[in-house]
Amino acid sequence: MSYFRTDVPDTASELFDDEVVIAHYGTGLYFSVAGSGALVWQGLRHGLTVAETIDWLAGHFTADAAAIPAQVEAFVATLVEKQLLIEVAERDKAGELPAIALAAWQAPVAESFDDLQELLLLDPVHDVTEAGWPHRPDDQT
Amino acid sequence: MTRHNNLRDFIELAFARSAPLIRARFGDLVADVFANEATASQGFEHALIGTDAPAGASFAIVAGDDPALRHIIPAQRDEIHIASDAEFYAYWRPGLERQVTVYDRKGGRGVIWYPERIPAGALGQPCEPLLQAAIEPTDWVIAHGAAVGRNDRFLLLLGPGKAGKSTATLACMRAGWQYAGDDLVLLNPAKGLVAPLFSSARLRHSGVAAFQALADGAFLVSDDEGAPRYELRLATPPSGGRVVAVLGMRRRGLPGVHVGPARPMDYMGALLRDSTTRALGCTASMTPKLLAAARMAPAFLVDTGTDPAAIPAGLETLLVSLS
Repeated sequence: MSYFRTDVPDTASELFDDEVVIAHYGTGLYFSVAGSGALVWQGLRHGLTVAETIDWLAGHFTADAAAIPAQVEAFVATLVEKQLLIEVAERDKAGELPAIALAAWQAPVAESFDDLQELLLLDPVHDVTEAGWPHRPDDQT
Repeated sequence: MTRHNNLRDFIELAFARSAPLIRARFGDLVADVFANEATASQGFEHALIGTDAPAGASFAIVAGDDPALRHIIPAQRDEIHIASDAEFYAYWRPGLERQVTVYDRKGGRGVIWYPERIPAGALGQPCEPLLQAAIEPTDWVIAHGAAVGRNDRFLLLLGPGKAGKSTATLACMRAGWQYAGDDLVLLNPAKGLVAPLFSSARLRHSGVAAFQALADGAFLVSDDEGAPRYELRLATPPSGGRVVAVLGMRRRGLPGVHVGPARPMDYMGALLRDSTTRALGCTASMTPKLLAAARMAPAFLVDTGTDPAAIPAGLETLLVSLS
């Protein structure tokens, strides 16, 4: 059984009303996950497996129940690939799932923004040598 | 110990060349600010918020070439260099505004040294790089944004440059509103608070016609990256309070003040980008706080229109609606 952690190293996330914003300061990208995607993210955060998340959502959006499994699986795979979820063997958290206020199901997406990328990738904390500041390992001797 | 000896020596030498200038408050942080001979007459104290409260940190602002301090400049002087660990934060900024910032986290002492010239922007925002390092382990974060309020209830204005933050801030200041900042403010997302960092405000040259009375009282004129700016003298001390709304600012040339619903992405990019770019090396600690700050209060998309005189009434209507 696979579960997923949403608190991933090198990321910070915040849940707004129906939108999750996730910043990844390793890749320099940040993401908006709204609507159906935010529900999937919350389901996983509350300790559901992907299958349990699909059951939860398919039970609510019955008209789209046939499309939901493939869309959720593809979306989770995308989040894993973008290093926004980590697969773990044990349930990390459990708790009440959010009430679903979304009117209609839409295929979940993670919208990415790269306008921070140059800055974040410019933001290394350099190693210094044992000689300490201001020496860097790549200094010409 | 050896690894940090250069940084310790630098701080000792810089403080030895400095004298007390002012005790200043930056939110919860109170610091004794020192200056060397070259910086003592620059007027930094006008931009700081004085206090008699006990100090928990000491900052020194030092300018001018000094052979005894040169050992702190990296060999690769054309590249940004940052080192940060549990004991020290050190930052070398190359280019026209070259400067070294060193902060001793355990000792609460830090120095900013401008080996050549003092950047114009530093006069209105003294000690900023030191503050970024000093508040890193706290609940507070320095955000690029403006904040104005009435009765200790504040609007947090976010958006990229020229989105209307400064115009709205100056218009509200002129109408007697409380002022926390027009460019940088301290935010505590855990408590939903905003606090001022500096007792300064800036007016771009393009805004002089609309705010001539404020420009007449300016205590100096700076030339920030080629654009003239007036550093304003504030009639009343800045203050802070509870954030009751987050405003994503937009300028679409509409005649009046327009307020509508906002998505986080309407203002998130500018908040993250323009805040973290001011604090290289602190991104990992700042980003969660900035994200949390963006949802401290209900968010709105605001176009403040083409008439600055109409802005206070428009924002007052919003404030009242949030009561």
